[in-house]
Amino acid sequence: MANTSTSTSLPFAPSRVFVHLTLISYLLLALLPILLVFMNSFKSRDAFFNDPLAWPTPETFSLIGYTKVLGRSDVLMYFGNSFIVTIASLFFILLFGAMAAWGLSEYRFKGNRWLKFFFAFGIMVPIRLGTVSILQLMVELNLVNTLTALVLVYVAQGLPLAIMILSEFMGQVPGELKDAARCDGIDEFRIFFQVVVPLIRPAIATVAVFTMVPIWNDLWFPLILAPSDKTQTITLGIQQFVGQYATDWNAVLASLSLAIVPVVTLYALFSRQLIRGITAGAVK
Amino acid sequence: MASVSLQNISKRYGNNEPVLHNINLEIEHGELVVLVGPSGCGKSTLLRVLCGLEDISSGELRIGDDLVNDLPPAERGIAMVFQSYALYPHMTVYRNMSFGLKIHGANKADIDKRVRDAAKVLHIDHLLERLPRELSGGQRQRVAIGRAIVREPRLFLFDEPLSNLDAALRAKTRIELARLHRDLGATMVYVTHDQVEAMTLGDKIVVLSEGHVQQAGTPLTLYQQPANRFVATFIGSPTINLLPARVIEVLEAGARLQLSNGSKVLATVDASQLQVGETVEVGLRPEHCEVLPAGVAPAADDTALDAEITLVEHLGESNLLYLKMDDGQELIVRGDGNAEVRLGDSVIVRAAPSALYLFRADGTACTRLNPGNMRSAHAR
Repeated sequence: MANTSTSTSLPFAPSRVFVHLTLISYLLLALLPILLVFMNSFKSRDAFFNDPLAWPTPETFSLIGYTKVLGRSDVLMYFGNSFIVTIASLFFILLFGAMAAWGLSEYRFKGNRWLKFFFAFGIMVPIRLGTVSILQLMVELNLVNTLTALVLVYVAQGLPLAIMILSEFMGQVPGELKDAARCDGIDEFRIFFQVVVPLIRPAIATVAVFTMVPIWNDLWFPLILAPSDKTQTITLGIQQFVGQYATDWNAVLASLSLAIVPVVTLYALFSRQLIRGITAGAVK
Repeated sequence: MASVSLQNISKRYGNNEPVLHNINLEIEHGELVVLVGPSGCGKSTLLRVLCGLEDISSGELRIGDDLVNDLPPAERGIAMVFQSYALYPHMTVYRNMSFGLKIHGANKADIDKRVRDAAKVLHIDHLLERLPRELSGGQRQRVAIGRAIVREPRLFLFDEPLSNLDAALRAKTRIELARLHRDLGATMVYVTHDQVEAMTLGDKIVVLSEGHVQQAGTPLTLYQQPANRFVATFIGSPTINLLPARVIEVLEAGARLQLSNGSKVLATVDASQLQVGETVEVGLRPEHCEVLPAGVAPAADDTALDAEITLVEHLGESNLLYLKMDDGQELIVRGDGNAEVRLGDSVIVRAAPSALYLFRADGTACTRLNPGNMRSAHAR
């Protein structure tokens, strides 16, 4: 605070005002569309065409969208499909990602660096570039219109980033801790699952959040690999309410609002882990 | 418990210079051996070799009668206490101590008994349900030792276990370690760079430098009869004074030498290898000197050096006097704490011929003929 005398009237520095303004405007930009969807999902069709920016009032309030959406049993199935795909992908990404990261960061072997580079390369190349070949492959394997196809693609998509982030964190686990475990006669698998993984839980939660949201929101691969009635995910299912000539806006807005809820819940669960620094007390 | 034998142990990484050169060492059953040396001397590497965390490039390592070169740490019957304690942060003290045993499928009641017994010995029995982050440094240290004890190893390894503790706690824990060693009767290898720990804890001290064993022996042997200049400078605080000199006469009972300021001194060492005219160094420990006022004439064969006081450190029980001789050589002398001294005073530093050490140009020491006490109170 070099200029204390001149800035005594200001409770905060001008540069901080700028930072906060920027962040607040970004927040509004990100949140307003969601708020708009949420707000209008509780209004009747006429009401949101008359005044889309108004809050629902007792006159305009309507649950017609929700009753329509929840009344259809296939919507629940779409939710189920999205859940299965997201959770299964997440499970395999975290499991294989953490194991690969451990292998790459803990053991020195020939080709270690090249393998790391190969995985890093996966972050740079968008998986959608390979859509045509992926579709061909899935046709060959008879996996079209199965959730397995989606899980496989998402695992491939999520692994590079997961390995990258987790191997950084694995490197920070103190070497003496692993040495101590080896002296205790604990085998490498147990060291990984019972000593290292508990310590990098915050990192695993970070990776989970980063990979979960794009998978839940994805429309591309469900549309191409699993568009059948039985395998649609919620993002694809919502499109049924969007017609070429007429769109059921109540249903679209209601289902969009519903689709946000699970992913926000999962985020809230994981983000508690993000904040926690669990290594405290391991070593001085 | 078991003896340990190292024969020609070498360790190198890739094709680099070895970090350990032909280490030969016998550790007796129940002995506490301290490895000391400056940082980078290989003492921690040697410990990790004993533990099995580093493999041996050549040589033979035996624990008890078993050749353990290729055994993993868990099968060597060792337990190690790390400098950072390396407690599992997400487990309670109880689980930290029992984890290794449980993995090996020991009987649950047996595990419980061992953990509780060890906890009682270490006075941590009230902390068993706590997490490591809720403990103080000293308590974590005990848990780490407890985790080693419950394994009932043949050999304990300590890697600078006290260096993370504050001074008061370090002194206390040091005494407890000594007591623990006596009570368990365990064979222990202890790495430190602190010579007080080395002198007080060790049955035997091994001084390492650049991957070579400089000397192995009891603490008092190392102090009184160092094998070379390195050991003499490493053991003892403040560091031994070294004064360049020339041999002017070789006697049955020692050597007469001329220092660079011209004064002549007698050192009672085995001088049979020395030749007149040879360049040597005289070693004089700060605590073996006496400070006399200028003008007092010391006995005929005593060393007497004229010097001026340039700096004084008052330690209470003694004064550390930093002196400068007329030819510019500096000396450190431990003087009586009750003596009144002033900066700039001229004094005479007196030392008996038997107090002197003598080092040849290649660093090897001449055996002292009348060294001080070398018998430890703990000698078995």
